[in-house]
Amino acid sequence: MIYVYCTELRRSALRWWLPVLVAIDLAVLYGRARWWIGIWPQTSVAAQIPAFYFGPFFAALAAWSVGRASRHGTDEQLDAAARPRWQAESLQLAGTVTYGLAVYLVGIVAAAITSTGSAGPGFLWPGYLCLGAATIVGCAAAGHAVGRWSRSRVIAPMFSALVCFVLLGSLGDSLGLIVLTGPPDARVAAWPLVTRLLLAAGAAVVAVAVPRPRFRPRGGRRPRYGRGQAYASAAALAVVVGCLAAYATAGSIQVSRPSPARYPCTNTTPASCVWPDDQKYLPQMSAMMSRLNEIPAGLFTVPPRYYERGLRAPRYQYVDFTVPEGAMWEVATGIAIQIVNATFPNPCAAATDADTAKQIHAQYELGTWLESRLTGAPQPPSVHGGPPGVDIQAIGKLIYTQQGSQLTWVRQRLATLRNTPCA
Amino acid sequence: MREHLRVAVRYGRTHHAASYLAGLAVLVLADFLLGSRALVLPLSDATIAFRAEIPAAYAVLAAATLHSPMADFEQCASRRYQHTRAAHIAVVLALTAATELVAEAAAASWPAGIVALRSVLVWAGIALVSGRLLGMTLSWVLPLASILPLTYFQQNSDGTDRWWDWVKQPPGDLACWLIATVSLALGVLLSQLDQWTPRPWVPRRLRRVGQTRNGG
Amino acid sequence: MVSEEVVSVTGLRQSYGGRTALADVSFSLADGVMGLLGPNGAGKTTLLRTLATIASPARGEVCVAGRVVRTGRDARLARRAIGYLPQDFGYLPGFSVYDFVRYVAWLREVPRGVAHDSTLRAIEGVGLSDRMSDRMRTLSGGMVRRAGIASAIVGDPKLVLLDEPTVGLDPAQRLDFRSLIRSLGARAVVLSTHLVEDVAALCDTVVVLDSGRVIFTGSTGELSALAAPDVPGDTAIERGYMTVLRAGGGRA
Repeated sequence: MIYVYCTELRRSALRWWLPVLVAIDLAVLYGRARWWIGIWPQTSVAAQIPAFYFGPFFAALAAWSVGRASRHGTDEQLDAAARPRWQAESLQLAGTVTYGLAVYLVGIVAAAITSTGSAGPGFLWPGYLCLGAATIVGCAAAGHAVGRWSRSRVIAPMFSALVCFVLLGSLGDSLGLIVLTGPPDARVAAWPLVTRLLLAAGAAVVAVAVPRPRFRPRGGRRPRYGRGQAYASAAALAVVVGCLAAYATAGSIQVSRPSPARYPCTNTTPASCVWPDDQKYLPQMSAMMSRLNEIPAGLFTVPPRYYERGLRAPRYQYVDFTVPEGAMWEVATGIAIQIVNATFPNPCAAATDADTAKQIHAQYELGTWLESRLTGAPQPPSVHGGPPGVDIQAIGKLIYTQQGSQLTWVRQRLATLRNTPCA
Repeated sequence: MREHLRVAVRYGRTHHAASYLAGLAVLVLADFLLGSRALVLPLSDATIAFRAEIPAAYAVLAAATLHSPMADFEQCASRRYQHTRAAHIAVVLALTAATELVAEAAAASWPAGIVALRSVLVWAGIALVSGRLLGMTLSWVLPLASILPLTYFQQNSDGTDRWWDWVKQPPGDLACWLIATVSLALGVLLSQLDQWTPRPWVPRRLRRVGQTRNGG
Repeated sequence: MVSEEVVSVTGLRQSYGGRTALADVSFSLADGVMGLLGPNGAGKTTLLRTLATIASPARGEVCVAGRVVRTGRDARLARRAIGYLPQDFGYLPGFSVYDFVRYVAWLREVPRGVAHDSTLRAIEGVGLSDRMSDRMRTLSGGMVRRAGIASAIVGDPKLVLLDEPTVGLDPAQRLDFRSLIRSLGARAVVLSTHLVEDVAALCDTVVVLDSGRVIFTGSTGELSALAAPDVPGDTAIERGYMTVLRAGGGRA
């Protein structure tokens, strides 16, 4: 068995494509964003992202690969073999999956090496990595099944790839087949992960055990020797139905992570605290807090501490900031909202709609100005949109003007808020 | 006339005409049922509708009709076959592109239909190149691989779509029509090449080897 | 010494759709080479596929190596004793000759401890030792046939079924093939062919099929002895074969 498995690997056409696939893996890993470097959960998710593309691609390759029996005319020999056909099929699928996982593993190792230097305590999170592996195995199994059951050599690979792509692209995140981001306040739930691994294994069992349905048996009668295969097929389908049931009832793949007993904060006043996994952001947080201190005291009520989401009780989850994709602007937005809310803790309902509009507009403008001051730069082009009605470009220019003129501008908005007639 | 029709039917049977038409029907159905489904892509601010990727399947379907179980006989066929093959490519591409245009126009809008038509032309060229390089049964490889840049590297840093993103650029974008023209021309040209086509860019020594092999 | 029956067929019937492919075929074979002769469509390949346990009989019984084959499990157990070379056998072009034969050994469940030696012996037996590491795609048609025969004999199966094994071989290769079959020694070989001279040179017994029926069973000498003077043929056995076909109502 081992020898034949090794032969499958040695003689597979995929070995020539290995460098190309590794290059694609590394391009997906590094080509688009590198903010994940230095954060273990995000590094793990980044290493898992190539599975989003390798899943459909290996589905196509498996569908192509399984067609070799009919391409090269070895069906007759396989039918005449003492060894059950599923064993030969398993080794072939195993060969394809091995290449998929090998490429995936190269990406994981590269990601780990890249993050090791700058990351805090911990290491790669195996949960995310296993999820990506399950995706590759499941898609390859689906492709193997489609290729085995279909007669087409061209349509089967393309069809398998597109179906997997649509499934992962449109439902992958909601079905928990793939995870697109790994915030530190979330972790992979064990049982849902197990069900996904079981589902991938179940798909592989069906792919190798269930032969192409023959609606018109050869010779006008059902072959007697095929009965065992029918039982095996029924058992394999039962297995996969069981896996599907377990998967459907297992719940979300990402769940809240308990907050750590100790977490790092900036040595500033006010201070900003982040998850230990996000400690690489501390220097940027410190700089942000220093910029906050440059705003004259008395203008705003500034909370003494800011927390990353998940560090405090769940009731603060819509208050505390997050660092999505390493974007400091988002952090600044979270902090700015907290400052405005602390300065005007219980604003009254405005008397008229026009007053409400003025009130909200002033809040938005102050928020945007605070965001720019905290980050020390105008809103970056990568951030699309913004508060409605706010001239973001004008505020971007404003932060480079004299402090005095800025404060005059701020005081006008503060006055608007303070003087809003109440209903 | 009847004899011509019989020849066409025989030719169609060897080039999977029934499967092709069935595939077209399935893809039109997919356009209507799944076309507006949004694909949530990793690290992307914007989603892409599934209809943007469906033209790849249309193109591969069209290219797949060039595969024939009687390819060995066709290789040594006379001039009339070469003409038939050229007509085959033209008819299948036109039919595929027109079907996608109408399906998209009906399912979404005419501008969406024109973008889809352009995408079919780009991917048809890529599929023909893939078929030429790797064999007709592997014509799906390069179109499938091209989905990666179109869904992962398609945005500039400011969130706008890159100039070469033929599935997202508006119907009148000249650069994307140029890509379609070049891709299709290259694909059709390569699919028409055979051992006897002069290749001035190939060194004379290698050309001689090729001819010996061909003759031998 | 009376040798044990390796394969026996009793009242075998096969049909495809409404057409009868084999009708009430019965014979048995111990060690030795049995030739299966008959015109195209006579049912030779169907009989070989049935003996190989790929097709289950519509009626009747097949017994291989002492085991009556009734279920899929029986078939798989019986296949350990069967080496089968289909007429158009396939191979993976990227496999070396060794990989190909070893893969078939694995399919036949040749025990792991002896699979390597058995593979080498089979390859040596067909004279391909010097091409053992070459890819199958680089072999000539005759060499591919020899590799196919090696795959049929690897693991020393008790029953070897060869469907038109000499198709595509040049005269010299056919002579080599005859030597190879003679060297197989004590085992049962069923050789389906159109070539009467191969049967004359190799076979101990001959079964002639026509339209799915056995119209002659006997030795090559007995077949030759049946030759009528007015039938076409260059050798006695050819004339004997034509005589049997004519008497059986078959096509010439």
